[in-house]
Amino acid sequence: MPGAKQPVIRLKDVVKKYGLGDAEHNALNKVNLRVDAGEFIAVMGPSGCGKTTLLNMLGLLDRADDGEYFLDGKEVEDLSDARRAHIRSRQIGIVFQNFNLIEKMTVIENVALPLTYHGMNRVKRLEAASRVLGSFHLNEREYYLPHQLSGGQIQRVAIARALVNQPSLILADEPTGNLDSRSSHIIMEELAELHRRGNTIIMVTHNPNLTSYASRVINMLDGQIASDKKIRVTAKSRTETIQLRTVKPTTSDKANKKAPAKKSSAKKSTTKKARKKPTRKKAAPARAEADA
Amino acid sequence: MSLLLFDHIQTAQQSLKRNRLRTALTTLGIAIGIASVTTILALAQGVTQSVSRQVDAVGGNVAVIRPDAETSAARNANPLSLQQYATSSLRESDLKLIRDAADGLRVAPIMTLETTLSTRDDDSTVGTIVGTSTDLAETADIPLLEGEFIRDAAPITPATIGQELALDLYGEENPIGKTFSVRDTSFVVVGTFERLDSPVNYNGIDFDQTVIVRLSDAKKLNGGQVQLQQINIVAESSQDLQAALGTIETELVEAHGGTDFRIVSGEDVAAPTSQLFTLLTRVMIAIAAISLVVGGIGIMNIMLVSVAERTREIGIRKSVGASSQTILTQFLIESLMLSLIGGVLGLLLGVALAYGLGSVLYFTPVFTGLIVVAGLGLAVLVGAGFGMYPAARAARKDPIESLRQYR
Repeated sequence: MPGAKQPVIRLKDVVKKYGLGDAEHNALNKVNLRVDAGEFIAVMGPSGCGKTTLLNMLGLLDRADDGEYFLDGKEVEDLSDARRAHIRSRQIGIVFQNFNLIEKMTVIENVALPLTYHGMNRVKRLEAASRVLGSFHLNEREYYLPHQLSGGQIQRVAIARALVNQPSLILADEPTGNLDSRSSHIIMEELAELHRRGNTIIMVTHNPNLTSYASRVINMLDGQIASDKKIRVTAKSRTETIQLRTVKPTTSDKANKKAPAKKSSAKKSTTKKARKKPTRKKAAPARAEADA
Repeated sequence: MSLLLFDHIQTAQQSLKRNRLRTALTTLGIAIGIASVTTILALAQGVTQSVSRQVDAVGGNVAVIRPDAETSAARNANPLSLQQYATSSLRESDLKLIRDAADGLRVAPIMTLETTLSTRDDDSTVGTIVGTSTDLAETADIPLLEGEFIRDAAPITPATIGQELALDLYGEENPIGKTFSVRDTSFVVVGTFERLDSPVNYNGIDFDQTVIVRLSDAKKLNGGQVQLQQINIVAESSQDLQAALGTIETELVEAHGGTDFRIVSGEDVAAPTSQLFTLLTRVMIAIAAISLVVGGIGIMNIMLVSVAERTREIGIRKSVGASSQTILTQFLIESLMLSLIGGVLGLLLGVALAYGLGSVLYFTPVFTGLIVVAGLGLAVLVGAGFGMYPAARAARKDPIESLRQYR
């Protein structure tokens, strides 16, 4: 698969420096990376290893001090801010740890926001947002304000927002970092589902359990890629993958047992998975309500 | 891009609505500024228009010769003394010279004296005496109410007086035939004019409070001295006037041995004659402009607060694809909306204020399209000017830093 198609991302010797004088250090130190379409990459590593910096760079929120970045075959590092904003609005969807929805806007307006910057009119925008929210079973929450939703729901709204412009690349910075374990798995299921539908996802995470959803795991250390492992993951071989991962000492048993169980149920349909969970996990009223 | 403009307006609306009190207070600041500017402009316009109406009423072919006080340093030092020329450069002999310059010219000198008028009953009042020629009736458009205008050949010393003065002197009684004295000279009232209610005119005289007498009588009152404030000239047509003015100018220069006078004709006559008036207008506009600047600072202040409060929102918007330009426009439109709402309110307030003041003063304010445009234009200017810095600050924000902010 690699090499045949044009990569979504290609980084060449990317350097990002922080600090001045003595305090200067490279948050990214000559990072080379190639990401093909349809990959689900989990970026792991200790705090301060440059994961988030990498993600910000990939999301065009930050500029590299040196190196080249090709997105969909086009060099984007030297473009003007306006051009980069344009690319951001069309090719990149970002999911944040702390959700970053605009508090004063309703759920549907939040989801429709990226389309505003395409110059799409309000009605079309809201229609598109409603469609995406529908696929997350959040239609009944469209006119809620973010603070009226649960953390898991908010993050699903944020994912919907990242998807609404049909990006070629979805970036997620610790998407489950602020969520409890149940919500975390719902979110990871959503991301996995997106991956199955062919989206390219790059996710930064601290939680080694979550790498089980990924097709490739990158470990970073001190601004460099320390290891880069491809895992043969497809929908049918997911259980296999999980078992394969149990060999690693970093994963906890508990997570592994939970994950495969969930996967098998989730495979059938998202709706079913969502319905099943409250019965299994005991009371997730908000979620159940949303799906009803 | 136009669609985005609509979105910005919507966003601004929501933001302004969310902080109603804040919006109202900021708007008020601008409204007060715009209201004062428009009020002053409308009143000044009203004055100018009433003067130009007077000029039109006498056929529009009016020219005025005034002593050139522009050269006098005292004028700048003390604007209040402007009407009372210490010594006028215009002489009595100039009148003959002007009359002879062309056929069909009506020439009315104006000499004013402030004196005390007393009646037989020992009622006395302070009034203005205008010494002039019989031509004033035509040159200044003063319609008679009763009696007649002063005549040159009269056995008595005739006086035609204004309505208000007649009321002051004789109350409800018919003033025709009544006498009053100024110093030792006794005048007989031969006529009264209609109430004009136009204290500001190109003659610089409030005719309602004035006694009009012959120049020769005024000269006697002034100890044989003629002090001409101005000379009005009316011709049959504007061509005649222009031709005559040419001759008049050369002859006057020759007679005076230099240019110590000013000839004003056409539109310029309609400009408010009183330097004091123009000066006051300017000062008031300057003060109004200051209040507008204060209003602008209010906008800037509130926009800076708004930008600070919405740092996260800016970060989010940028991360989902808003460019710096878009953010700049968004905040600029918000401040423009603030100032425009203020501008519209200010205009309404200005109209109310101008008519309120107009009813107390003598002249009615006039609102032209230009004043409305100027008022709104100023509001836009203030909104854009003072909104630019906060908007630029918003646009410059780094998305990553902004997203890190709580709130």
